[in-house]
Amino acid sequence: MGRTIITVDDAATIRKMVAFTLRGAGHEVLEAQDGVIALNVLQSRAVDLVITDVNMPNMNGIELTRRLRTLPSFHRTPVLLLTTESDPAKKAEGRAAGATGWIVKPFSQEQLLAIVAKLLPG
Amino acid sequence: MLNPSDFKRAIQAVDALGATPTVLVKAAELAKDPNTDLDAIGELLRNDGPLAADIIRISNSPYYAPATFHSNLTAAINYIGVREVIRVVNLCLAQQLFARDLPSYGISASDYWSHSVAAALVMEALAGHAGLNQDDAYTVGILHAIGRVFINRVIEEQRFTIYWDGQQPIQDWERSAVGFDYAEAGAMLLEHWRFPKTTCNTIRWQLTPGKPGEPVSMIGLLQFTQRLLALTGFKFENTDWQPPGADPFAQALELTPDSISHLISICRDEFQRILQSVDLS
Repeated sequence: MGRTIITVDDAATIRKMVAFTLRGAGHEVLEAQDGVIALNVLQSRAVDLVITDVNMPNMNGIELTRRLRTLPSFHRTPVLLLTTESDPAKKAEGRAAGATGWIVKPFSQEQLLAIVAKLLPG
Repeated sequence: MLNPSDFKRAIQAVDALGATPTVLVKAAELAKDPNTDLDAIGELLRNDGPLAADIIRISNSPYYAPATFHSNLTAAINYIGVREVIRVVNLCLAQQLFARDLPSYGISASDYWSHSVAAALVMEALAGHAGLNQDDAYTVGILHAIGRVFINRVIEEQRFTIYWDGQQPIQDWERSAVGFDYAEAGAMLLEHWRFPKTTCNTIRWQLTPGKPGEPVSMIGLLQFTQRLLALTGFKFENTDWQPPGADPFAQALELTPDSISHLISICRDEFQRILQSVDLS
């Protein structure tokens, strides 16, 4: 069953690749270019999963996660961080902010679908 | 889920933490031999510079309240004795292995070390009641969750993961994340370091429930220790905890609620003394 997912990334290529992969799997996908835009969208729109890059202008993915966790409707919504291999500290920071997991860039379509399936079973 | 090359790389990463588990295995063997003298232990530990330095430092700490300063390893070992040397080697080993946070679990290095020391103290005390080897029990207690260090390393090398949420049983999360739990991972590590088979098996089967009427074993001791620490808190911080009234393992050891409270009280005092006096930082 398709779910609603938002992908947040200032890199259009990554954002489109994530959206293309998830739409191909039957999900509805919203897109945002940074944390501020995503937060605005999510104030009025519930989603089943947030996939966000860490490093973005205006508001990064960790701050977005932190702000989302203050919203009652996002207490339990899974938030997946897109990180780079060289920043293990960011992974820890993301966990502390309330992220649910992480995926290292670059990733394959299969890896993305595998972790989404784990986060959104059934 | 983990192929042999992944396994080898993860083992090497843990080895690179600078720990000295093989020294602990050899020291424990020497300590059990009635013909071993202190010189043999000293010779073994002398080969590990950081460990020797830690033993000298700890022998001079307020924990052991020395009358004079020990400037060398021989003096330190002579002062604290073989049995205490094994305890100190255990503490140093744990400190080296557990010096890093486990971000995948959300467990800090300090909490992990404290939990391991608390388990070691309770294990040692219970072993005295059960007639089991107290030194072995102490080692099992301090290393019972060593597999988490290994699993954390494996996860750090993965392309993606989901953090432990603190709600799901931790072993279920570990199996879904890497294919095995911390008990199996710990046993694999200890086998790699050539720990005695009985120690490896105790770690491996620690999550497997015992059967009623089974003789008291080190595995049962570890499981009972875990049940007690869940009540007392992993740093003995719960002041209003109540000892279990009808625990089959306690009954097998003929431990009453009062005697369990007394045992925990002694462990709590010892734990505080270690935290306050033995600066392993």
